[in-house]
Amino acid sequence: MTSTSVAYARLSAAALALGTLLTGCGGGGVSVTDTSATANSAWQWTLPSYFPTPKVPADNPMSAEKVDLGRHLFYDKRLSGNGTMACASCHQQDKAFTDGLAQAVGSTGDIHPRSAQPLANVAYAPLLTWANKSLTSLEQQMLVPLMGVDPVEMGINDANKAQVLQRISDLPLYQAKFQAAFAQEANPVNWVNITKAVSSFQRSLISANSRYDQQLQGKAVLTEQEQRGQRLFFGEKAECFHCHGSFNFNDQVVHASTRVLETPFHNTGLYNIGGTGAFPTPNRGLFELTGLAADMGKFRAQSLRNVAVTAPYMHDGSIATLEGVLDFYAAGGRNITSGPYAGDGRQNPNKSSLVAQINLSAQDKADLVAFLKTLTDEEFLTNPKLANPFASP
Amino acid sequence: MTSWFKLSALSLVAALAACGGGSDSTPQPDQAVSISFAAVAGSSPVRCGSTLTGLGTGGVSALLADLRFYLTDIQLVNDQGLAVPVTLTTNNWQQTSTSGHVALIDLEDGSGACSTDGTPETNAVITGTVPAGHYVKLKATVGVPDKLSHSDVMAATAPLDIMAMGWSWQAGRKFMKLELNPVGGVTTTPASGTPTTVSTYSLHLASTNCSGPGDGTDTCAKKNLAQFTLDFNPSTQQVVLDVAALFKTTNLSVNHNDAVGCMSATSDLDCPPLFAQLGLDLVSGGAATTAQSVFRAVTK
Repeated sequence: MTSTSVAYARLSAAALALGTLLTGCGGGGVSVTDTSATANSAWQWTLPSYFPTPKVPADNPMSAEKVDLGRHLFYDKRLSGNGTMACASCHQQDKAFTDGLAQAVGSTGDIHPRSAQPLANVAYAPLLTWANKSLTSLEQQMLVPLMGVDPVEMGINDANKAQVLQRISDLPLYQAKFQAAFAQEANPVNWVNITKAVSSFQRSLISANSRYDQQLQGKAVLTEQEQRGQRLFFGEKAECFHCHGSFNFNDQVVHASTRVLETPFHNTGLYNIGGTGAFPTPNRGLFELTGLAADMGKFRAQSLRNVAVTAPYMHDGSIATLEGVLDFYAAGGRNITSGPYAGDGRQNPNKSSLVAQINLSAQDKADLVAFLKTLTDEEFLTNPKLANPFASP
Repeated sequence: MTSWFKLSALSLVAALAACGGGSDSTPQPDQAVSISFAAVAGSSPVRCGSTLTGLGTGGVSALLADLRFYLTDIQLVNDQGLAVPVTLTTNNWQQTSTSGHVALIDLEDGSGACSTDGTPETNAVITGTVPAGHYVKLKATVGVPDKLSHSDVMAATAPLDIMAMGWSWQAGRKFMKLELNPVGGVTTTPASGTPTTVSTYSLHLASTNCSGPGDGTDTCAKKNLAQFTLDFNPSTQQVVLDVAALFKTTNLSVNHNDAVGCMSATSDLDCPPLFAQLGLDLVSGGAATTAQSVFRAVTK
C-alpha cells in the first residue's frame, strides 16, 4: 500500500464514521445540549450540522418547562390589556409566524407602520425589529409589543398591568407551569418571568427541515428548476446571497461562538421620493435614529426561510408577491411613476451597491421563485409542539 | 520660612471653615433640603383638568394629558460657587445606586385628560441633604443615567418601574413625558391619503440612536439630556416648568411627520422647536447654543 492509498483509506474510514454519526443523529442532524440550564431539565437543540448553537442569555437558560410555559403565554390573549390579542395574533404558525398583512394591527386598532416579522430561527437574531440597534435580546424586544404606545400593540400599561398579571396568576394551569419553569422562585408569576418564558419559546422556533435542508442532508433532491434557481441565488448574476447568504438566509446572525458580530443594514432602492433619496415617513429606517442621510431607507435584511408563506414583503408590506420581489430586485430598485411617493428608487443615492440592475429572464425569475419555495419548512409550519396549546383538537 | 508656612496653614483652615459655612472647628451636620416643582403656563398654574389657553404659534387652548419627568445630576451651588450633589432621600420617587441617582417629578394625578396613562400618585418635590451652607443656584438634568435608564422596567425598582415612562424601542426610559390635548385635535396631513386627526400632542424626550448590548452598558449617540441651571433659593423659591414657554414656537394643531408631536426621533420635524426651548440640539443630541427657557425659579 502506497502512502497515498493509506491516506485515502483513512479518509474513507473517517467519511464512513462521519456517515454513521450523521445517520445516528437523524440524517444529518446534530443534537447540542445546552448545559447552561441548571435549574430545569437540560435543553437539547436539534440542529443540522450547518446550524451553529444559538446564543442564549446567561440569565435565561433554555429549559423544556420554560418553553412550554412560554408557548402557552405566546398563544394567550389574556396577555393583552383588553384581552383581545396574543403574540400569536400577529405571529401565526402557518404563516411562519407572520400575519399575512402588509401592516400589523394592534389590540386597540392602531395600525403599525411596519409588517410583522417572521420568527423562524429568531434565536439567531442579534438585533430585533426592522431598523434598530438597541434591541439586542428577545426579552428586551418583548417590552415593545407589550407596552409600546406608538403604536399600541398588546396595550399593557400602568393601569392594567397588575390586572393582566392577576388574570395569568389566577389560572391553576399557569401556577403549575410557572412553578415548573422557575422552580427556585417563591413567587414566580411575574412580568420578568413572562418575558423570559416567551423568549425561550421563541428561541425554540427552529426551522431547519425545508426541502432545501433535506437536500443538504441527502434526504431529498431538488427539481431541475429549483436547482437552476439555487445556482442563480448563490451566483454572481442574481447576487441574492450577499444579503441572504447565511444558513439562515440573512446577514445578521449571532450564535454561541460568534467572534465578530456583523449587523449591516441596507437601502434597497424601494423609494426615492422626488429624487431626494427620501423614504416615506414614518418608515425611513436607521435614519430615524441617526439622522444621517446615508442611513435613509436602511433596514435589516429579512431571513428568507419560509419566505413563500410570509407575503406581503418588505418592511412596509409594499410588495405583494415573491414574483413582485424578483421583478423589484431585477430592476435594481422600484420606480414609482405617480402619486405622493413618486420617484425612481433605482436611482436612490443611498442605495446599496449590491442592488444593481440584473438581467433576469422570465425563466430566471421563475427558477428563483421555485428555489425560494424550497425554503418552506412544512414541518415547522405544522409542528404541534409550536402550535396553539389552547386550540380544541 | 517656617512662620510663613504656619500662617498659610492657618489661612487655609479659616478658608475651609468659611466654605463649610461654619465659624467653629466642629463640622456642621448636613442640612435637609427640599426642592419643590410646579407646572405653569405663563403665570397660570397647570394641572390635569385645567384648560391652558393661547398656547404656541396657533394660540390654541389645550388640556394637560400628562406631565412627568426624571431628574438626575441634581446639585446645589453655594455662595462660594461650589457645586455639591444633593444626597437624595430614598423613597418611591427617588433612588440612588452605584449607577447614579434619579428622581421622578410627577405633576399629573390621573384625573381628567390625564386618565389615559396617568396615575393618582403625584410627586412635586425632591428631598435630600447637602452639606451645611448657603445655596444660591440649582443645577439639574432632565434625564436618567445610562445604566439606570437601560434596565427592564418590569424588574426595576421605584421610580424606574413606571411603564408609561418606559422607552422600550430604545431599551431605556423617557426622560420627560408631556402631553397636551389641544382643542380641535392634532392633524397629520400625509403625503398620500386623507389627513388624520388625533387628540393628543406628545413630547417624549429621551435618548435615541442607542446600541446594545442591553446589559446596562448601552450607549446612545443622541443623549438628549436637558441640563439647566437656575439662580435658586431652596427656602423661598420653587422650580416651575412653563408649558407655554416649551410650546411657544410650536403649532399644537399640526403634526408635521413621524410620531404625533415629538418622540425625539432625529428625523421628526416637530422636535427642533421643542428641543430648542429645552436648550437641546436635536441633531447632535447635546446642548444647544441657546439657553433653555422652560424651567425657572419663582417665589413659593
